[in-house]
Amino acid sequence: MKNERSSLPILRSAAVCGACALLALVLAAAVPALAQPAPDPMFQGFEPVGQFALKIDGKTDPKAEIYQSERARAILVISSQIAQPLLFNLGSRQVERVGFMSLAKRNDGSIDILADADITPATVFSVSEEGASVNLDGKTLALAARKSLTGPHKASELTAYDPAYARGAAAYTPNDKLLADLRKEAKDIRIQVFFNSKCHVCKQMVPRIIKLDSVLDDSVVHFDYYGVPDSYDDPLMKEKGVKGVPTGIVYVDGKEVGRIVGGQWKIPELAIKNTLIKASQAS
Amino acid sequence: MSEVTFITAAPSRESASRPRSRGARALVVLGTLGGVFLGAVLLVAVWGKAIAPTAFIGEIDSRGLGILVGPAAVSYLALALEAGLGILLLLGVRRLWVLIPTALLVTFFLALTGQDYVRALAGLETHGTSCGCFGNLVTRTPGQAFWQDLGLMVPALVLAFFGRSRDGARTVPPVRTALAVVLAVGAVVLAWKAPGLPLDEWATQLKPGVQVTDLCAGQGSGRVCLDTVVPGLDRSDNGDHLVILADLDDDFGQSVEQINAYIDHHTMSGEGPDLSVVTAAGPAERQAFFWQWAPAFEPAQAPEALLAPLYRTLPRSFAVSHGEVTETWSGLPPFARWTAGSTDETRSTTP
Repeated sequence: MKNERSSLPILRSAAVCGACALLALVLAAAVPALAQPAPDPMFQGFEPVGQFALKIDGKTDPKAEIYQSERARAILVISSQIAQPLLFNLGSRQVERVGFMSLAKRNDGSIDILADADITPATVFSVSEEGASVNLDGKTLALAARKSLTGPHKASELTAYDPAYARGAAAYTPNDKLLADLRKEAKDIRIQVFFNSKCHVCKQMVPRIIKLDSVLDDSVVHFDYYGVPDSYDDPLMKEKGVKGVPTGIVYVDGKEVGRIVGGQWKIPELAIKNTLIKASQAS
Repeated sequence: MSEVTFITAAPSRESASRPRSRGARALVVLGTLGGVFLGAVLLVAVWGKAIAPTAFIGEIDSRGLGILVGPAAVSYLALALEAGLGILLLLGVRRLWVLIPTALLVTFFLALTGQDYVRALAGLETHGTSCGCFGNLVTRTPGQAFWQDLGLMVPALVLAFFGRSRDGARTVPPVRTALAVVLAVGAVVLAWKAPGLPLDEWATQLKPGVQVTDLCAGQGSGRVCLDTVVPGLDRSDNGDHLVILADLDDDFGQSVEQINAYIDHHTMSGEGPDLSVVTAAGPAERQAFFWQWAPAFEPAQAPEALLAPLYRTLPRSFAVSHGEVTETWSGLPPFARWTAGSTDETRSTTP
């Protein structure tokens, strides 16, 4: 009993010491995090983009992560094949090395460069009509436009190709009332969406269609996506008489009832409903 | 006003004194009306082309008609001829030396519009929605252009021809001819000087009060309007907008820093309208421009047929409020209006 009594203070002391040590560890970890500098206002919000490809010595690196900030007029490239992230400063044409610890990834996938970032100028890049290229650490790095998606595709392929589509889709909230109306439709409705990966209006409008597509997945409204080449010279486009993109051809029970073009896709559920109303009035 | 006839072969006394039948007199009246109408049509077309000569010269060039002397010289020559013939017809001169060149000119215009119409019917690419026969003021589909030109000019020409006065057929009325020459020279001078004159709102469809939803090209499913290429310009978006129509060439590239400065200011302070840049340049040109000039904006692409009636020279800018064009500028917008207090400077590109 005596031994048991004498061991209690020792155990208590050990527990207190352990708790203190744990607290110290937590503080040690938390304080630097709390002290992490804020993002540089000019270099925050680099968003993942899909229109560029990184080529290293002529070979495309499919795993390279490419981010762009229109505001900073810069492109951030992260690849396992290059030692450090690289910042292509479009205005000055400087390539700068950025320390990994200077980057902070946000939950939405975008990246901030911190205010006291470790940025070291490396060299200047040259530009051509195809893109930018630079010789660095014995390698030739080139940032060039990716080949546009062509032919039939699924929504998931579009968002995989260009993360901007996924971002745009996530940011769009369709109108519940209009969605309910479309869900009530009994006939098979199919919309063939012609788009081009580099088309500015498509980048604004197609993500909204993709969002609508996902929320109407359980309904009779279905979407097909068809990418046209940059030349806009495509046999199906010609066959269907499509003059520009994005154009959606609306079919009801396999019969074309109308088309939705360009900025008319601003509220896609409204555009589709209006097309269906016009078609029913015409018939 | 008496006119001196200095070409011989004066009308014979017999024909001059021969009493005309009622039908013949009616034909002369119809001929006069036809000639006046055709003259007016030609002069309206001259005005449309002379105040926006770049479009007409481009039209001539794109069709490969600037052989030997170049498209500008061919365009000025055509304008002079059209103006001279137009005023002669308007003043009632319906002699063969006027009517034959007029018939050739009308045939030339119909050949241009007819070529586009046939190509359109065959599903081939045409030279935009309208030939430059009426400048940028009138936008027509190839079919409209052909049938309207045919309807406006051919019956009037036929009437002017058959209803021409046989009296003094070979004479040259000096005062009216001199007036025609002066007007022809005037048309050429106007066309030459027009790009530097503040005539944008006369020469184009883009002017204050116009709804952006009315700025369209094409027909049916191929119809494209300005608000379909720049979503949010229409009335449904209650914001104010600035739009710059531009060629993505080096001259415009020199302006990118200034535009970027405005965008930075707008983003940081929220002051000033949203800005869009619209171009007819394709993906490859836009890509090259991006790397060359590092714009803080992504140009929207619009068909040339939609943009052509909106400008004489690029860049041209305009402000939109609640879907209506409120102001236009030759060149860039006056950014200083919205960035007052900052260090930005605005380059005035107004000639």
